[in-house]
Amino acid sequence: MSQEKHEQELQDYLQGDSELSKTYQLASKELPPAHLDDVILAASRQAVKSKPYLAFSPFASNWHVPVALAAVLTLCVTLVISLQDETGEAYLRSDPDASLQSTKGIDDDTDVKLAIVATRKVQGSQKQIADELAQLEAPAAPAEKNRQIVMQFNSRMQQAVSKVEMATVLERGKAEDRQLPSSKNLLQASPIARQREKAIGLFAEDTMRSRVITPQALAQSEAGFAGSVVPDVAGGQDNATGFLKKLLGKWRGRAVHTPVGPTPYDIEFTWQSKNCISGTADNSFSHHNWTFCEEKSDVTLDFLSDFRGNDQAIHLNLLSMDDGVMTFMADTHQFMQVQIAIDKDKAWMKIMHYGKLHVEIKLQRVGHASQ
Amino acid sequence: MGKEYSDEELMLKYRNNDASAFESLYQRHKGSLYRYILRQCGNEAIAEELFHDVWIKLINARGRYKVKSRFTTWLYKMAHNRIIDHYRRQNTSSSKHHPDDDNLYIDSLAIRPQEQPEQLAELRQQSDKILQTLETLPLPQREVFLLKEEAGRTIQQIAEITGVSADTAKSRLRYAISKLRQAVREQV
Repeated sequence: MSQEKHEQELQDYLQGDSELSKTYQLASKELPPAHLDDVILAASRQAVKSKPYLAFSPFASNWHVPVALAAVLTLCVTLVISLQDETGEAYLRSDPDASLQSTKGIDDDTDVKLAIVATRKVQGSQKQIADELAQLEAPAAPAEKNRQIVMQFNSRMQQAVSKVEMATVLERGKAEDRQLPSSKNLLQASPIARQREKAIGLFAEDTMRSRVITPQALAQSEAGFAGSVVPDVAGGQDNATGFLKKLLGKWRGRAVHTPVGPTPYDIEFTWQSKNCISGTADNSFSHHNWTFCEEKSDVTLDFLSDFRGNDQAIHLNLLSMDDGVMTFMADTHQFMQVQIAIDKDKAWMKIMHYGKLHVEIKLQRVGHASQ
Repeated sequence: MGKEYSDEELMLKYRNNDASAFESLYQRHKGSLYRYILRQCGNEAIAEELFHDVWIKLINARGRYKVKSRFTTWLYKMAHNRIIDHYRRQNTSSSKHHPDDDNLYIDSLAIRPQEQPEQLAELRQQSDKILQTLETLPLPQREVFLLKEEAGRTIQQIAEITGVSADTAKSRLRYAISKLRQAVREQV
C-alpha cells in the first residue's frame, strides 16, 4: 500500500467517526472491578481526612521551600558582608603594616587593639595560605588569594546552608511527627525480645521518615522500650472505648484462610499504655503483632507481620464502622484494609488486599483481661 | 442542573479537600484509563495493580497539583510511566491474550439489542479481530492507538504523553491504523 494511501487512511481516522473506531468502541467496554473502585475511592477520602491540604496556608507543605530559600539568601548576604569586613580589605592589602597603619586614625585605644588583633589573625591566615601555596611551588598570586577567599566563603556557605537545611528538615520532621503515628506504641506492644528488636528498628525507620535522627529520638525509643516493661494500665481502663475493652483478654482460634493454608491463631491483648492494647499471635509460620490505640474518638491499628522476613509495620486508620464491623485502612499501603468485628466472646478479623480476602481469622474468647 | 466542571477544576477542588471532586474525576476516567492499561499488559490482575498504583500516585500528588497542562495528559503520562516501569521490571514488552477477554466482548455486545443477529455476529467478528490484531502490534503503536481511542488525545498530546515527537507519534498511529484496517478487511 502506498504511503499516500496510508496517509489518507490516517487523515480519515483522525477526522473521527471512522468505522474502525466504531468497531473498536463496540468491543471496548471493560471496567475496573467494583472492589477496586471502593479501594481507590476510600483512599481518596482517607487522603483528604488524614492529610488536609490547605491552599495558601502557611502550614502547607510547599511553605518550606520559599522560606528556606529566603533564609539561604539572607545568610548569603550576611556572610558576604561579614567576609568583606573580616577578610576582604585585609587580603587586598599587600603590606601587612599598611593594615596596622590604617588603625592609626582610630581614637579609641580598645578599638585599635581589637583591630590589630583582627588584622594579625588575617595575616596569620595569609601566612598559612602562603605556606600552603609554597608547598605547591606556586606563587601566592592575587588570583590564588582570591581563590582561597572563594573556597573559604564556599566552605562557610556550605555550613550555613547545611544549618538552614537541617533546621528546615527538623521543622518538617516535627510536622510529620505530628501527622505520623508514633511507633512507640509498637515498641510497647512487643512482648517478645525479637519483636522488640524489630520494633526498635521500626522506630528508627519512623525516625528516618522524619529524616533526622536526634538524641531526643533515641531517648524516646529508650523511653518507649521502658514503657513496655511497666505499662500504665490504670488510666487506660478508664479512658478507652468499648472496642478496646471488648478485645482485651485471651483468645483462641484459627486463621482459617491464609496464603499458606489454615493455622492456629491464639492471641492475648493486654494494656500497653493508658490508651493502647496489644497482642501477638505466634502461629506456625509468622508472628502477627496487633496494636490498637484510641485517642479521643479515633481508633488506630499498627499491624506487624514478620512473614517472609518482613519487619515493616503498617499503620491503619479507622475508615468506617458499619453494623459492628470496624474497617481500618493503611495510609501508606492503601491496597490493604483490615476488618474486625467482635460479638461478646467471638471475634473475626479479615485482612483484605485490593479488596480481596487475604487472611481471615476467627477467634473465641478463653479468658478475660488480667487485672 | 449543576455546573459541569472541567477535569482541571475538579482536580483543584480535590487538592483543596473536596473528596467528591475526586469521585467525579474517577468516574469520568476510570474506564478509559483501565482499558488503556489492560490492553497494554493483557492481564487483568496486573492491569488492576497498575491502575490502582496510578490513582494512588495521583492522590498522593494532589497537594502539588498545578494546572500546567491538561489533566488527562498528566494522568496518562503517569499511567504511561507506570507501564514502562512494569515492563522494565518484567523485562518484556510482550503481552498475552487473556481468556476472559472473549467473555467481555460477548457481554459488551449483548447490550446492543437493537442490532440484528447477523449484524451483531459480523460486528463481533470484526471487533474480535481488531482486538486480536491490536495485541500483535508493537507496544508503541498499540499505545498511540489506545491514547487516541480510549483517551481521545490529539497527536500532539499523544506525543507529550509518550515523550516522542509529534511526527513519531503520527507515524506510529499511521502504521497502527493501517494494520488494524487491513485485519478487518481480511476478516470481511
